[in-house]
Amino acid sequence: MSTRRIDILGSALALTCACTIWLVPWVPVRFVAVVPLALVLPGHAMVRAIFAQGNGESQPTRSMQLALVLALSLVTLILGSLLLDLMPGGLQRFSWAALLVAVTIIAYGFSVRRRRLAAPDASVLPRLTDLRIGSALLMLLALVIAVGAFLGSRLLLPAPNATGYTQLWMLPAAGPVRGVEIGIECDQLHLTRYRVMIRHGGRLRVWRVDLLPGRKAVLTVPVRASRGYVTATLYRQHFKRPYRQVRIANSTL
Amino acid sequence: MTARLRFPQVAVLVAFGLAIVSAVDCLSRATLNPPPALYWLGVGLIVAPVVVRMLGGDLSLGERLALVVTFGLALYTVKLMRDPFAFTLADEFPHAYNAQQALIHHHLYTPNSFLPVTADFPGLAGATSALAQMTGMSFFGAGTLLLAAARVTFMLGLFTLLLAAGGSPKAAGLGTLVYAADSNFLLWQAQYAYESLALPLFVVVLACAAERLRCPPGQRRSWAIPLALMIAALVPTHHMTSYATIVLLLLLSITRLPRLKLLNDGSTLPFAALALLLAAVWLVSVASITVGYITPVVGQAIHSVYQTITREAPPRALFSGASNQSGPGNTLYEQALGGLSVLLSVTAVCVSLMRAWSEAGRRDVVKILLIAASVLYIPVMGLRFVPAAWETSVRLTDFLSIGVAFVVGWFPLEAFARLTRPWFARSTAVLAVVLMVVGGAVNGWSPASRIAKPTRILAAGRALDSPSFAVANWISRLPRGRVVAPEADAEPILLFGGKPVAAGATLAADQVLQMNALPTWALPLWRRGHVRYVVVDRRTDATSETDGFYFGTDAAGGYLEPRLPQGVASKFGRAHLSRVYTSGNISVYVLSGRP
Repeated sequence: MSTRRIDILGSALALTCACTIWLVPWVPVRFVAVVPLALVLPGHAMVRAIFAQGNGESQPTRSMQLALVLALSLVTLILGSLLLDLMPGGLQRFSWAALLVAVTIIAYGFSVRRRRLAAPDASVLPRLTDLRIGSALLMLLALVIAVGAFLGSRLLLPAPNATGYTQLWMLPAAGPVRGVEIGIECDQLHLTRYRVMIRHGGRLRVWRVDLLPGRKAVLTVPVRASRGYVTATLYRQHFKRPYRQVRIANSTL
Repeated sequence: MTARLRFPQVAVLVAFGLAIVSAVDCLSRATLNPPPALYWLGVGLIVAPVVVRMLGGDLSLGERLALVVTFGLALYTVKLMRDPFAFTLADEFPHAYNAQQALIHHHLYTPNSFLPVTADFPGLAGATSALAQMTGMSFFGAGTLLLAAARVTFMLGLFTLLLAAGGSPKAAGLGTLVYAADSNFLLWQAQYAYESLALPLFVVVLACAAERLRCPPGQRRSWAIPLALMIAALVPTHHMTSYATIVLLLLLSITRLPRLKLLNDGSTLPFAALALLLAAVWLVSVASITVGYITPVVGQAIHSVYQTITREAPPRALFSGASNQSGPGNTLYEQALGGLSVLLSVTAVCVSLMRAWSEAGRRDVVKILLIAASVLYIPVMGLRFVPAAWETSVRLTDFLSIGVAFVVGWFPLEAFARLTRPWFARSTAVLAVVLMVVGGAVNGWSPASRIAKPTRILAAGRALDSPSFAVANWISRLPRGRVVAPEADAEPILLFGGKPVAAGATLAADQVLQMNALPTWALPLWRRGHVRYVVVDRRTDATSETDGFYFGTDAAGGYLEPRLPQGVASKFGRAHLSRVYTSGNISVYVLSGRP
């Protein structure tokens, strides 16, 4: 492939990626467009522009070129964020894509211009030669196992030895009614039966509720203005000792 | 051995290693207490095949690059599998908060109440926001992708640097693998924090400088642009790495060291000046808080070194991790692995030095600099015996290990690789690298921090969050106000609760929260500090920013949670504060205003 064609194709790819980011709402599709536009093309275009001229001695080695492609792409993101932060709209999807595509196309443009007098270069990326079907299948198998291992690590698992707990809270009730909102969330490992004793101004109210793990219940209790506290004491079934207690100063309601 | 094991087979074995580590993490999150040896087996299976293949002499440059990239990404995946749902390692919370705020406000520099200095170095948050906004992913997904790119950059940059300094692709490849013996490589350098992005750029700057010095003087102009751009990006990304870059570029400008047969023209001096200028401007105009952040750490380290040398204070016990790490310690064989790793590194450095000294011909400045870094590595490792200098030592070795990687790959390992007949010589080399890497990881983190632990579990088909995460989510519904909390709860409250926090030494938070009785000065101090809510946590782990926010386990699953006395919580009740939330160990009190 001629060097000029690489620059043109790179610019076209950057523009396509930017349009995809601007127009497509789906995350997986945009992800596919973002990876080259943000992490490869700006650096690739800059490496081609910077090292467009000169002989073999002044050219970076292949590993250096690869490192620079990634490093300069990261540099574009870092310095680009400082630049966009100064703009009125700040860091937005549209401004990011516009900035990256502009940097990329300008750099490829410099590359085209500077390469008029330069000798053709070797490709930055290593070629996939001698890749036999057996090897390709093995690498695919490795990829499947690695991705499977990672996805497996994301599985949500039961933890039989974890210590379960229960959340109890009390807040001023929302809305016009003067009162408190009392909530219980069961984070035990099994169904739990609760009894809540609510005391305020000499009154007592009992609230019974059964909750499965991960479920919560909320009760709003009207409260008259008085001195002292509104107190909620939570008991678990078959336990006489209080399990949780919260209280709130009546004067703050 | 090498002839039979080609890259595709290596990739499959590495993937199996990942599968084993994944299984260990799953068992650990399921509170089933997997044997640590299984974890090391998985890590070893990632390291060993790559080293075996790298020792081969018939590899193309492309294959060596593929090997180091695969190796780097595989070890990065080990960290990802530890935290597959959210960033939960040490400094990840405040950095994730910065990225989250950049996504919400579309601007950088939102104040960070937990680690204020991070807000003034917005390179990581800015780059993450680019990926998150363009893809539509969360900051977790975008940060993970960004750091994967940074890890690949690091591996390629390090390989290029070692190749430029030593000239041998095999030694460069082996050296790059040996760098993983740095105790921070497995977890710390893979965490979502500013150094994880800055260190790869630092290495590429060094590699650029090394390659530039190899060019004829008249053809170096092109290199100025990438060097200047990377220096400009390093400065707003991480303070220490940008300062290390200044020091490095200044050292690369040294032109005369007759006894060391130095070959250099001092042409990197303008880049050192540029780095110094940009760092100074950034420090004065944006990040002046950095001085107050770094000075006490360095001051305490120096003071502690003095105290340890003069025996005014006892030395630090090795393998005790950070002072705020908890849980059971390393087993005896893990401690042996850790010690062996350091011993191998130090021995390799000494052997290399003797060989380098007798080498004929002039040496270039990059080689001398890397050898000097490897020599400095030895006394810096000694700082791990000093209580307050331990952390400084760990951070410094991130940079100095580049020198160790060079000398170990350059001399001893390549010498091993040349011995083609005695197969055990190669096996010994492979074993040595595996021991160095595994032992290095042992030296870095306590067992409790190393393997995944449950922050979210499944019960009756529903997801349950750990108590620290639950209180953070609950606090998100409260009206705005500053929260005093122990560190393990403060970090999730900052990120998920969206409230400014005061933790650790700020407003004497840890001191007051752990007292049985409330000192008279505490509440007035907190009121003056605009504190509205107080979070009390009776778990002793609650002061650990690395281990405190997981589900507790009963004796069958590990160890019982040690608890502070009842008084640490009830003292606020005695002061007539409303307790509006409790989940047992954790309670929330309202200090001022309507809850």
